[in-house]
Amino acid sequence: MAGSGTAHLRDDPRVLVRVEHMVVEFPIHGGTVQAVSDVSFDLIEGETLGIVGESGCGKSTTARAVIQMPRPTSGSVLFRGTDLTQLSAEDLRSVRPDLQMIFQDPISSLNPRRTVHDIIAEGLRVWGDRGEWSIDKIDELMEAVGIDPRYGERKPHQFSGGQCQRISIARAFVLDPKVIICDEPVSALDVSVQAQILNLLEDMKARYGVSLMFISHDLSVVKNISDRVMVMYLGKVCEVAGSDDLFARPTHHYTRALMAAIPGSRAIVDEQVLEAELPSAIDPPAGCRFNTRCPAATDECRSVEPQLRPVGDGHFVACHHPHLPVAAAS
Amino acid sequence: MSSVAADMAVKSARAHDITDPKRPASQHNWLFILAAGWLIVVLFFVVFGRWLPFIQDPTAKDAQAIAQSPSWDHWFGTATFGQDVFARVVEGGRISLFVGATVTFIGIFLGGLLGLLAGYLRGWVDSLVRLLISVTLAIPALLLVIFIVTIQGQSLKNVILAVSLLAIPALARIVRASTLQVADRDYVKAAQVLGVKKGSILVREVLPNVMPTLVSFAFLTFGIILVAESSLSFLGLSVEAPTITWGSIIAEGRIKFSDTPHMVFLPGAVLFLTVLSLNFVGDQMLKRFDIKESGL
Amino acid sequence: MSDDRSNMLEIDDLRVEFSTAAGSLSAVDGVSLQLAEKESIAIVGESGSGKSVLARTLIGLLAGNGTRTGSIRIGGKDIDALTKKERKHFFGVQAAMVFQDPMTSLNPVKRIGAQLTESMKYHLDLPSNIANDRAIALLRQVHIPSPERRLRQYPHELSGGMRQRVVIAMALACEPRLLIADEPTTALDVTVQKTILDVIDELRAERNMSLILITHDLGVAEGRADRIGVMYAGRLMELASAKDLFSGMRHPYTQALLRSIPNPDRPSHTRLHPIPGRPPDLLNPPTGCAFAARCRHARPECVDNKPPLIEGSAGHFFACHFPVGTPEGEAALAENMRAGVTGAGLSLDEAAEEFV
Repeated sequence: MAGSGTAHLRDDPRVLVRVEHMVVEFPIHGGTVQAVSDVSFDLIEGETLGIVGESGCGKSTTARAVIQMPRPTSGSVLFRGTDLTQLSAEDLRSVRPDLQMIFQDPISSLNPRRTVHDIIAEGLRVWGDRGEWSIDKIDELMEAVGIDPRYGERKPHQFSGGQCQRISIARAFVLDPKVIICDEPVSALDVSVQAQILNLLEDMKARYGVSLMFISHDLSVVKNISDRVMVMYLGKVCEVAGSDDLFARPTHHYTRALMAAIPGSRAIVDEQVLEAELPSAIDPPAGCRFNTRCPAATDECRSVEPQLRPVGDGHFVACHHPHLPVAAAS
Repeated sequence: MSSVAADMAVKSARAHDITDPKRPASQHNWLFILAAGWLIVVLFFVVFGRWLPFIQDPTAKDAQAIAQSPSWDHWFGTATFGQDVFARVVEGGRISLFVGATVTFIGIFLGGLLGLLAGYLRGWVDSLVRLLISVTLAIPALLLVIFIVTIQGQSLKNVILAVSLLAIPALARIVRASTLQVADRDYVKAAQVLGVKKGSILVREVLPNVMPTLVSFAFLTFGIILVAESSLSFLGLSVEAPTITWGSIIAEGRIKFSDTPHMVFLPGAVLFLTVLSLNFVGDQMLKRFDIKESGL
Repeated sequence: MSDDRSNMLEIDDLRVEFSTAAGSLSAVDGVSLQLAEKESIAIVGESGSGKSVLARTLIGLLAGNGTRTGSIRIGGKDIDALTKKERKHFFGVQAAMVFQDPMTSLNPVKRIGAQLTESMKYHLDLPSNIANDRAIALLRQVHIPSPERRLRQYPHELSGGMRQRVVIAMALACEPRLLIADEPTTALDVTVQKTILDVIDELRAERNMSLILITHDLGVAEGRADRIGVMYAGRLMELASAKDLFSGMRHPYTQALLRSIPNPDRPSHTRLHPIPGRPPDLLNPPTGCAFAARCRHARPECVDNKPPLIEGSAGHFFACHFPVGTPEGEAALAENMRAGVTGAGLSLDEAAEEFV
């Protein structure tokens, strides 16, 4: 799998972000490596898009490239009709407040030498009061994320990992953004704290109306928080579908293998990946990039790259031989 | 392995919001106090020495007391013309410490600026700065200094200039490495995402986190500069007589070592203790400023 | 617990304390455990629960500032009574360990082959050619393709999953009877995690080895271990066969832990149930049950008295005054719900705004 195509893009006036044919390359010793190759997707107002895949699949780079960190090598990223890839540095800076981000490492994402109040208020210092929040309402925002405002003068190292992640969330919300990229925000946390943060994200999203792009390697977490899920493998999209739909009817062999590997899952899926090494992104396999590990791979898969095509309502897969229930196939 | 325990202690402490985090009671604490105390005493004598009544005129010659060993009248003994060595050490310290402080300051300012820009802006600025650092550090240091002093003459200004050429690249390299590390942190990216301007990020996010390393290394550099200047004096290449520095006192004592061993050992001990204290304070500061910055 | 002669591992009232600047930290607080031959047990807990310290202590890797009391018997031998000579060929031979990060066990500048054969030559006195053949066989057993070629490679040339397989092969080199795996798959992707756990399962069956699997993931523990022990604040809270634990968990902490994990079988946007509050301060542990402050079943008794680990039903141990699914437990919960607050002062109003 791992294909290209734009069949899954929606024609909806509520589309906030539309990414088409995005490629991100990094220079490596003696050449370049494509971390993201020809990925397209869109994000609707108020939607949570989960991006899932294993390390090296380009999920994090894809999300970060949306906010132009790094800038994509080619392709377009339309945010409310403006192509962010074409903006000058200064114009890009002016749309930054609308596109925020929450990082994986809760402690390293906060400057250890500034107070929590300063960290949260930094956006307002740069842009002035915007929308919901103002300097004198920082306490209210701290309360909303569950940090006692009396602790505003403390430094980050005096808080636990979960609390630091709450502070990060407050910082991301202070400018009333439209889109927040959540890059593995709960991966570094214990499960009990992870649940707190996931609930908080849901609450904040409902309260302040924002779209999320949620990146995680944990399928259970992604399923819980997302409306739609995009599965990635080696820089390509495998499958896009509504969250419940994807988990009920996974059709891509890679998606199925991922689900079968969830520890303790009672899901009926039992599909194994072949025991081959993950191919190198420097020299990806021809055709479908998953063909070296796919149990259903044929000669076609080794030569022709599959395009995303619909297999159900809002359910798209890039596979020549998707696993379809008999009823759906007829 | 003990990092496990330390980690647990940190986690446990963090989970409970210890308002004033207790510093690990270091067994080096009293050494730190001693070192800092010594530096304060040295500084006090050097700055106020001229007004202190019990310190004699360092240039006053006394034919009655030539090359005497230490005594109540002359704590560090007397020199070959009967001058009080203690007074000379105090007076010499003025120049030695002035050179050390000035060079360190220049090093921090210029080296720090170069390192900060190279580490933060990367690209061609970085390449250029790295080239400059490599080239300067490749030149044999002592030869360079001797060259400058011989060509330009033995003035205070030239000694400072020559030694600065050693300090700037050394500090620039350390600051660059530290900046590279800090600039890679997520909080710098977070500021970028918020739309903070580059200059502002450099000043507000990067600099405060590079500063502790810079200040700690400044102490170490200060020590190295003191030794470098003394070596120059000893070779007769530093500031010309009659100006005294610690190195020149030692050099003078060496000529008639059998008569005046105290002129070598006592100023030598002062120099040694001062450099040791500087190193120690710098080291401890580096440890104290070290905040755990990652949860992973 | 039974005093069986065929016990592979017997731990009796194990306590580990670390002296830190801020005081004495009790990392493992009175753990007793038996592990039969061929048996596997999973120790589950969150960070700071003491599960890793327990594992390291068993293998004789206690940090310098740690002190241990209580006895550990591996294969019937008290590890404190080992002679210097026995000790030399004990850890790594009788009992071996696999760490979370494979690079902590691998030397980055030595070839895989040299690292694999080294311990066989040292402990078993094997000649080079035999050790080499065994190394190849081992790599094949952990499903590493083209093992002959791998022997000549350096660790950095392998992927994370392959490295962990090499580490497992190294741990198995001297045919240990007890394998301790400390979060062996936490740093790996799920598909790789599955294959690694499969390899460990397979080898355990083949070699009649006992296994202690340390993990933070209840899902990993289920299905990979005969018994599961749940640790919290240095103590075993519940210990039961995997089946009993999931069908009838007794300790409120086990239940709370399971409830806080997003379940892929439930629809998206299902509200999660985090555990309120935070773990106790190990420098200043509470007198009563360590979980009382966060427990929905807590009564005043829980704050005052530490519940002992008792055998509630055959083979099912738990340390709780008011266990889940028992009349006392349900009564305590019902009473707390009525009052809206637990005996330890925790508000049960889920909607209440609370600072963490």
